[in-house]
Amino acid sequence: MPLTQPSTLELNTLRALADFSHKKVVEVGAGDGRLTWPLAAEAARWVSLDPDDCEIGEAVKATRLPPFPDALLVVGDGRSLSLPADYFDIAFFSWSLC
Amino acid sequence: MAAAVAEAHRVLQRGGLLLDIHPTDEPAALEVWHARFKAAGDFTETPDNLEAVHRLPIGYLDHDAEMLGDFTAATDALAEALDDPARFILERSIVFDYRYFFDSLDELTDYLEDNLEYAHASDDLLERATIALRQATTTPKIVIVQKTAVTGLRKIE
Repeated sequence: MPLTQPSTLELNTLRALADFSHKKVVEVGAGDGRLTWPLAAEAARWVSLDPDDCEIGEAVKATRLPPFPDALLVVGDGRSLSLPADYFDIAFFSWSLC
Repeated sequence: MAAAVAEAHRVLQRGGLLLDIHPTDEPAALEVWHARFKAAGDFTETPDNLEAVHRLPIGYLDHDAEMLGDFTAATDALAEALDDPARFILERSIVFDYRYFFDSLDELTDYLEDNLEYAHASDDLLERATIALRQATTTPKIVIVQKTAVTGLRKIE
């Protein structure tokens, strides 16, 4: 979906269902990082995946917060990577399951 | 999609959460908003402020049937994941209005032209929007309202 900025309502709704603080999160379909950066700051570890390398490049450029040593943005769709089993607290499909 | 859900199940630890956000398969609505009494342009999404906004429904955007079908399939994939209660249980699901704000019809049509896969506005819809914009008593905004679902599934084992 062609969005630019997450709304407060969108972020609050996500936070109503999931507590990201100190969690290990894999985000599938990060796109340009629109939802990544507002939420990744709360997590202990954040891995973002997107099959589009241009989008991942935009996500890297969009970093508006201090560097996250525990945030990783990767080109991939989650199936072609060797993500560890039984590791993450949250698997986040960010407008990507459709 | 089922493969994606299965992969999420594999990488989640027991008690982990599969969190999904995607639009529902309802067509997006077009509305014209203008402030009743607060400063025009202040459309911060709080209940108090929404009470200050006059919302005029204009109609619905036309969507590609395949795209709406993708939204339905995503919902179905989550439902299928619940077929085996030993794998996931439904934690919670919330539907909210995702709103895209535009300052003018040109801005809206430019957006739709740039995102043809998303939706199309008919001439009739744009004409009604034009009339509504003229009738607004404070500076109006054009708003696409897209019903969007957030769902959490908890991994059991």
